[in-house]
Amino acid sequence: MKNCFFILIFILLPTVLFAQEQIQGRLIDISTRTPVTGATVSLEDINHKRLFVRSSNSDGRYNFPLIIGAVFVRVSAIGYTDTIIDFGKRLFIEILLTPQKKRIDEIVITAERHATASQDVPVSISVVKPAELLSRGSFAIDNALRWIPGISVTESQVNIRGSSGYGRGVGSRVLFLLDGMPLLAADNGDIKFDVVPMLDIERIEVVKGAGSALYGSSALGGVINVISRVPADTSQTAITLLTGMYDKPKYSEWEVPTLNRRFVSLEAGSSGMIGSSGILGTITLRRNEGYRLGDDSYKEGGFIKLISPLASTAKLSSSLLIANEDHGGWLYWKSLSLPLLPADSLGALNGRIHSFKANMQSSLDFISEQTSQTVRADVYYTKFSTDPSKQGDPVGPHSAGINATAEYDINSDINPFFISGGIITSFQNITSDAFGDHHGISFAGFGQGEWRIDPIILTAGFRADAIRYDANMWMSSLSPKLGITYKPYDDLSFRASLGSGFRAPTMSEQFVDQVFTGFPVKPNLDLVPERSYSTEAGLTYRNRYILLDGAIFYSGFDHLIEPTFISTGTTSYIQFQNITKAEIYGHEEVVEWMPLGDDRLAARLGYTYVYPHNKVTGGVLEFRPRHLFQVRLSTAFGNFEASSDFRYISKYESLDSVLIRQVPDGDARVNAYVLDARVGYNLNAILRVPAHLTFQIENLLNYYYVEIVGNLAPLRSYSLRIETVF
Amino acid sequence: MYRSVVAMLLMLWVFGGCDRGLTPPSPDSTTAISGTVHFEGKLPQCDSIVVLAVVLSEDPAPFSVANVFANYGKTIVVDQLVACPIRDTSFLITPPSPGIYHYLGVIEKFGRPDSLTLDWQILGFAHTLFDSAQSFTLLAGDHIDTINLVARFDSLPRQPFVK
Repeated sequence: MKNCFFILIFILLPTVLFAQEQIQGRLIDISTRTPVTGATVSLEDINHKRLFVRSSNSDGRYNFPLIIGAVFVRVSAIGYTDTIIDFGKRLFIEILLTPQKKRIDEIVITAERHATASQDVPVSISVVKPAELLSRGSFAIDNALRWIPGISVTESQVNIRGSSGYGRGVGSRVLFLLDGMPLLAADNGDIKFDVVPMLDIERIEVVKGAGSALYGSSALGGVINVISRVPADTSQTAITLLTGMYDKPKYSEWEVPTLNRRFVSLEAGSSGMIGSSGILGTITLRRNEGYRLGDDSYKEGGFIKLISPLASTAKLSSSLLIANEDHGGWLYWKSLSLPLLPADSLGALNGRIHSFKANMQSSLDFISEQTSQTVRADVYYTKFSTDPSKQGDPVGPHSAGINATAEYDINSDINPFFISGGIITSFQNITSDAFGDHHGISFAGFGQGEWRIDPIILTAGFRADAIRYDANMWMSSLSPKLGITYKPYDDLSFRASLGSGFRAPTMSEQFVDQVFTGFPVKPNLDLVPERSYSTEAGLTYRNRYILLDGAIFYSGFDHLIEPTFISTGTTSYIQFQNITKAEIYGHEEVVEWMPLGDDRLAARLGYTYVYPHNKVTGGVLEFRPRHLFQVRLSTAFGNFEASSDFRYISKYESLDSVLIRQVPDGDARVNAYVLDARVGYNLNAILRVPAHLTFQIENLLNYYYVEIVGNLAPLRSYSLRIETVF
Repeated sequence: MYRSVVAMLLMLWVFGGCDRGLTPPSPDSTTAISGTVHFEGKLPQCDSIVVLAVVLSEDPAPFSVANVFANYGKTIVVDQLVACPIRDTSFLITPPSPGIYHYLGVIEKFGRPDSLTLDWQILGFAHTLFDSAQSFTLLAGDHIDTINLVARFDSLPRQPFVK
């Protein structure tokens, strides 16, 4: 603990030391008087040579260190006319921006590893915006992902266009990033959705399709990048309190009288400036009694982020994230007759699981007129332990792992070319009773070029990766990508791309050696990486009132790793093996309609059809729905707002045959119809306090369905949320 | 456009509202066999037990353990019991289909946890007055709930496994 404290001081101290006098300002939309976020703001000298570049934050604010020779401030924002002003000797400059007569393109950073207009990228990308995140008041990120067209979630697996099934908490075929750095556990390689406080998320970007050419292992089916907020330039405190309860099941035989089914969550954060450094900090406390016996949880967490401009055109960003959780040892139901009772009551009630996660990131950005360079380091530590289910038993499964990554990126804008490249190294170490003690190391390098020949953008890139566990053989991969975007008009763009992906087997898949509910699971040192390639063609049309997006896609997968039941006559066991070869093809359509030209009234429809063909068995892949349909309606007038989300997921056509042998009524499944609805009111209008009250009903239809075998999805719940910002 | 969206949502609402998804299996249609396991004699150390369960087999004894696991969930069904502290406990088995089941017993795995097929033993089984395994005919919806199984760790009955 003492060492952690000194490491934290070491990382954060330079951020504060470089603090100095600064120029501040704010960007305002001249027609709506609202802040303009994500604009590029640069300081220029008398010859218009760029001295310093910043982006405006979510409040439209920006700041610079005071630099001798600076004369002009230039603002470029997509959807607005470029603006240049002579700032004289002023230290606070409010700049009014004039909107162009077209819909504002979204800026995304995940598709190409640098800021790009969403219409310029050759792949499908979805963005969950802060307003949408806040309106849902979710506990964790997975609840936000479930409403994105083309995405379904089964436990810790995110399924983007059919890429993933259910991996029993092991491995992820989607790469999960926090501010561009990997956040996958070293042992299981899984995603921990609840580590990042929702209050600190600026937005979530999801790239659909293989992305290993830029991001390496695990980007087999896509990439999810959670982008955290930047500190506000003025002191700001936000508190969100949410409390609610799950409804009783409709069927009296399902009732568990001892359950209270309540939940409460508190997130409190503060943000501001220390000198020219911005700082934000948030704490999270959650208690969920659960809707099933033995499935309750306690969670605590915190997030700190510091951003400081340095002496010249550079900035230093550091963040620390910690999360602690204690939850029941629920695995699956007793049967469909008793779906809210655990199969193993003692294991669920006594065998509680304690987990701890910590992530520390630091990045140094250097920006010059044509080039930006970034040096980043990231450490992700995860640990879990399980209490014995019976007094006198030995301690249950436990594991600890660390994943450390360092990388150097460079981007160079030499019109009409944009060149990116980087080198990355990472180290993993695990200590576990189930997987043993192991370590791994990897090296990677990538390069990408974009050639802008208006109205066409051509993109080509590749990445080489080499990964090794212990003294085993090196696993290597070369992942190329190609893309083209054609924009004949400002409103219309066509895209086509070919990408490749791979996923190195996780340490748990290679080294697991334990008995799971009576079944021995044995290691397999001969596993090789899963591989994929994906191609898509699509178009986007957008104006102020409507967005139409359509894509057809095809992906091929090879060496997919699946748990396999092996019987040799004298012995039988489960082992992870490279067995499956598959192809997935389909189409996706998204329509967004804003009849008033803004967020006062909006509707979004998304439909995805996927055919997940298992080329080994001739059937369909397990845990992949063929149809996904999502609808969102939202309205905001004056102090009142309301929104609803509906999703339809067709039932899985195929399930894990090993798993349904272990779980009573394991093959019970249906189509899912899930509707959430909420209404909110701004209390400032009547009580003169800066607070917002929201009443929400999740699973309003109280529809009973499963996302994974033997696990009834959450029952209908009612919650009340109050948010205040001051 | 607006009307079509509203119409579609109304249809989904009506359709979703009528269909409640998964429902409890009708008691009339649940085929089950249940009862109590009584432990007698000297009990072993808890940590010597790897798995303790009640097993119902469609195949008559003798059968091989490898065959048991190859047909797990099809002709063999188990209800895993809480192993420790060892005390009389109830069990409930819902076979995948009606039929004639030829063996019902309490099974224990001891010794090597790393091999699925080694170190299994039957502690007691449902038998006739002549000590042969009792068969159960389960029709659709039948629930036989009066089974008493006696299990002893220190005096094993005749084992059903192929040598």
